[in-house]
Amino acid sequence: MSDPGAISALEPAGTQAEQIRRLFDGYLGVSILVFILVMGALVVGLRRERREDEPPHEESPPDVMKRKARVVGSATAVTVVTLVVLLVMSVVTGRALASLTPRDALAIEITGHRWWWDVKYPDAISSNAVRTAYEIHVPLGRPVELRLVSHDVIHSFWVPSLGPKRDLIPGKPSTLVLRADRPGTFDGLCAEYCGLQHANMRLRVVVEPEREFQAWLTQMRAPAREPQTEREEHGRSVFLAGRCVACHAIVGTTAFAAVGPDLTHVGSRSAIAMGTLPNDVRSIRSWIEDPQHAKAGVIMPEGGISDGDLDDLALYLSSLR
Amino acid sequence: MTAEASPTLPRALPTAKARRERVIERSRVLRFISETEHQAIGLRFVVTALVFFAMAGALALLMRLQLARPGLHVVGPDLYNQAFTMHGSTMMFLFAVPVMQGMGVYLVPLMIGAKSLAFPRLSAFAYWTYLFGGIFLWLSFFMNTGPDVGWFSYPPLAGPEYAAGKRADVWAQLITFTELSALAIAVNLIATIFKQRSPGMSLDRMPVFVWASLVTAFMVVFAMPAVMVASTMLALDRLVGTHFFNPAEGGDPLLWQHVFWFFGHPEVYIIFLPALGFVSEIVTTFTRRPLFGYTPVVLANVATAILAFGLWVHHMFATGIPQLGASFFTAASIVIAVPTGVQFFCWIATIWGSGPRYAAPFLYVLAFLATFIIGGLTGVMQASVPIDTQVHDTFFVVAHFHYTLIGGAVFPLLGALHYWFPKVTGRLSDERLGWISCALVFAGFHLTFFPQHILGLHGMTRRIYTYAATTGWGTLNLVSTIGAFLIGAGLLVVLINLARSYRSGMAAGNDPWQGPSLEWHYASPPPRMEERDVAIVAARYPLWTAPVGKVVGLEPREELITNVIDAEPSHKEKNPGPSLSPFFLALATSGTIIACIFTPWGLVWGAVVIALVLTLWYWPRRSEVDEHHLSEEQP
Amino acid sequence: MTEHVLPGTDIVVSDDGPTIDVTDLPRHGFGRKSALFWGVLVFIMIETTALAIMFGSYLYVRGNFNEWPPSERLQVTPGILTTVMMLGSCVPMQLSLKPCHEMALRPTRRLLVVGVALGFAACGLRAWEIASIPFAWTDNAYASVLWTTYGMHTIELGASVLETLVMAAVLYRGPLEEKHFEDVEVTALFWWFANLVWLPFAALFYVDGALR
Repeated sequence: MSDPGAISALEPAGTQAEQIRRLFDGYLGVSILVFILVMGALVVGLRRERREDEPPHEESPPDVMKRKARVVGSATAVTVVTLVVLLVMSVVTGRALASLTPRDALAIEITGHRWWWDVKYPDAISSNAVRTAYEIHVPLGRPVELRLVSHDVIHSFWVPSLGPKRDLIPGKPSTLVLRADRPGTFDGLCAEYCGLQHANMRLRVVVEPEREFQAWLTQMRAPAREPQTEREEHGRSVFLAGRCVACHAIVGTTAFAAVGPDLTHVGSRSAIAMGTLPNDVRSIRSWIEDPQHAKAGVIMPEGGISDGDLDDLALYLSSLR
Repeated sequence: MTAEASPTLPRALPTAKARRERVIERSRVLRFISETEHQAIGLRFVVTALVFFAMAGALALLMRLQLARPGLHVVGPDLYNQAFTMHGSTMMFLFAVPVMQGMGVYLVPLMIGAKSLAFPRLSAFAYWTYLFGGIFLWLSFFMNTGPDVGWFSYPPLAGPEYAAGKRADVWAQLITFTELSALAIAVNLIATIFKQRSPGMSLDRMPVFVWASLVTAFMVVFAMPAVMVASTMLALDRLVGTHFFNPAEGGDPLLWQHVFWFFGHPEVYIIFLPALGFVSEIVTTFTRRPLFGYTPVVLANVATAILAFGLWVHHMFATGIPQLGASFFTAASIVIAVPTGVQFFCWIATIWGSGPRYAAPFLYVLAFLATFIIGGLTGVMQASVPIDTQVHDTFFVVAHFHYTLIGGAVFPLLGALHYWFPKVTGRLSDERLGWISCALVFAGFHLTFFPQHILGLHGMTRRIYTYAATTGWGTLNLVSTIGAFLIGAGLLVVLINLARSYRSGMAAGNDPWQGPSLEWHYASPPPRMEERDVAIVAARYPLWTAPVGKVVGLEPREELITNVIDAEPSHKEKNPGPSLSPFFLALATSGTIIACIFTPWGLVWGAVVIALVLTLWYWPRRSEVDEHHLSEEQP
Repeated sequence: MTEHVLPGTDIVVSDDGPTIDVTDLPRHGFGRKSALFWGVLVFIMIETTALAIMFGSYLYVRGNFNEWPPSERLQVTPGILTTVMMLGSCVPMQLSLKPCHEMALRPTRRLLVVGVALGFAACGLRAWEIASIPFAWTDNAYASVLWTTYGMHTIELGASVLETLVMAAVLYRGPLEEKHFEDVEVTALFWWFANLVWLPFAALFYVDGALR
């Protein structure tokens, strides 16, 4: 498995995540102060001794009561003011986040499925459109407009280092604009319980400078790499003859079904099975042989393919870089 | 059937009824299922709720074991998903609300000096319905039909297309059981508190816990119907093909979220407000002082209850709702901190310079103060939309709501259990074990849940049965698991303490803590209705101020009804005494609800049976009618 | 035993402590005095809230459609007739309250019988109204909301008629106590609720749905 990506809201690499981090720090500071003051008052209050002019079961003498009333009143007033300040800070940050305009943004369409992410890079020229899964590449410093919708149940797109999460709701498309300000690899997960394999619905975002991004996009636009060896050739024919084509597409072959993830460049991804397994021939092979073993309950059925054919199929898929 | 001369001996009952009651008396089973006394019902609610608490707690330990290290196989995803659904549903519906209501059922009549609840048979019905609902849920779980859709069951995941089998239907009908029970108790508490307070106990002399129970009951009245409607919509979508949540036919998954959270947010305050009532009572008694700021505290409870209905959309901040609307809910979610803050300040003002007595109840109150404030502060954080869009659906939220629910409700509950234990059992619990259990639970709690804030910020989402080692979440998860077992140990000590003390604790007498309120006026355990007198009070803290009077001229099974505002005596009402009807009605209702999982005709046939049972329940019997209660005209 | 009465109250203070003698208090209370009244009032609040949620759901779902209503329009005649009959049935129930408060048995139960008869007529008309709905609940979300609301309200209506029937039967067969007149009063209260609460829905379904 390749190195894990950063996955923390406390290590922002995107504009929104950065702004939210700063807001959070403000709230945290206020919270710590409030805790110290209130608990401090409690501790001091516990240590004070009862006055002699105060028999049990009676309230404190009038001068003490007046003073307490003043303190409680002031504390309440300070609380209100503090909360108003926090409210204003939140609204201001909210406005700032919303002001990230999608001008010259890169559009990416993401459809949530149980338990994988269908990613499309639309283009006015249809042959330039890219369809992939799990690993999303985005250009450094350019806004990315994510168009999110679900195909089945509610999911939630979340890459903590880059910015806020947004639910993918069937029948209710939603748009989230993010901007990555640091290059690197950042991991994300589905953040809305969506059934058996919710825990294993991961994704990876690779942030790279514009030039590298365009290079990747060009690679993705190309049809699938032709088999270079006899075994890869055999693997491709196994793919096309078996049930795989009922769900998976490989551009450049006759397989075009969109029920499952696109496999045109599956060999280039940093992991398979939505981040559950490393991307090497052995893992691909065992995944196809019995998907339930790695992800119990996943919708992909068993391969039903003989051992020799499985080896070649895995080899072929691994070659699709 | 002539009246006896002495006003204190019970009037001779009409013979046929007396005969029937003697038959019931002789059979333990019949006596058990015909009980309608509020102490017995209240105790049953609390004990049953604590049993469910233990069962849900066991599931929590199972989940913590699974998450202790990355990639473990203690349980698979299916069982884990059922576990967190059962844990949440049991804790919220079968423990938290019933236990608070049960404490109210037990304590409120005593605190207001009444002999019983306004509708004793309804309270018995509420208990049986609750018990049957809980048994139904857990039996389903043991038969591998336990719900696995999360305790708030979002469609389409819980809808007909993606939730196979009857699991989600089990969840939807569990709601019916528990909400029916909760509403029945709420009606009871409101009518009792309004109409059966002791003469002299005007509204501004009511104990704060009674105020909290009253306000909570109103919240139940306005919140529970929402979840009833939501679960009915879900059941209909699944059973008969309606399209409430189906976007293809104009329905909307967000409709569920709005209706559910309209209930769901007040729900947590329904759990929380009675606990705040406990705190006020305990602080008063153990500082030996009248509560500072009685009026602000009461108003704060009322304000919290009203505000609680204006927050619900903060559970939906990640769904892409418009910014302006969201800001309103941010403001409301932040403002609700003010009344709670007021209560905090008043408690600290009460404690200030009082030299309190550090018995177990007070220790738990201190634990509450130190813990809940953290939950409240993380709540304010989540009220902010930008922050929430990062921490929503992560372990940060899990930490927050355990801080508020355990810190804010369970700690005061533990304090309350130790506080009123002598009243309920007539014995004192062991002080040293009380200290030990409080220390264990407090330390265990923070060890379990504080790390979860950090885990959430570092990307750990909710409801995942495992995680990769490369995330780096392993260490904090292990710490959290150790803490969970520490909590378990502390609760075990509580159980041992209370069980042993029940058997062989020191005799407590009426008022071991020198408390101010009326429940301490009566014997420990309190006598049954026939041997209790309605009190007369002249002050807010009756036992601290003046001798408590008593009402004379009531028959043993008669209750005194007073006015709502000033509690002047108004008229008398007859208590029906023990009755088998509530049990049978609960059976009929339960059968109907369960049948509705399988066919809509269940409602039709069930309604017929229920109508019959209700008619038989209501129909007056000659043997029950007291001679001089007959109206002037007879048919 | 020395005794004195506290001025301005009924409290008698003696060596045994303060007491109040309630032997002569009545054994029933009407209206706000009655605990049962409050209980039924709270129950009405509960049912109203549930129906209000359906009202809100209708408006929410409406936002998901471009064309409204999305199904064939409701027939207005059955709806109007049923609503009028429902309101009419409230008249004898309201009239029964005066003899009820005077605990006059015969006029009370006669008026109750008239009310029950009109109530059954209203239920019959409601059955016709439901049978005239030209679409099924499985058609779309609007249909689902409408049918479910009809279902919920019809249960309230039917329950109030049956409850009043039992009440009237008890008044004829007995044995009776003072508190049975309290029961008649809350029966009438619930009757008013079950019938009045339909008005906003009639307006919603027919004016907004069928007539626009």
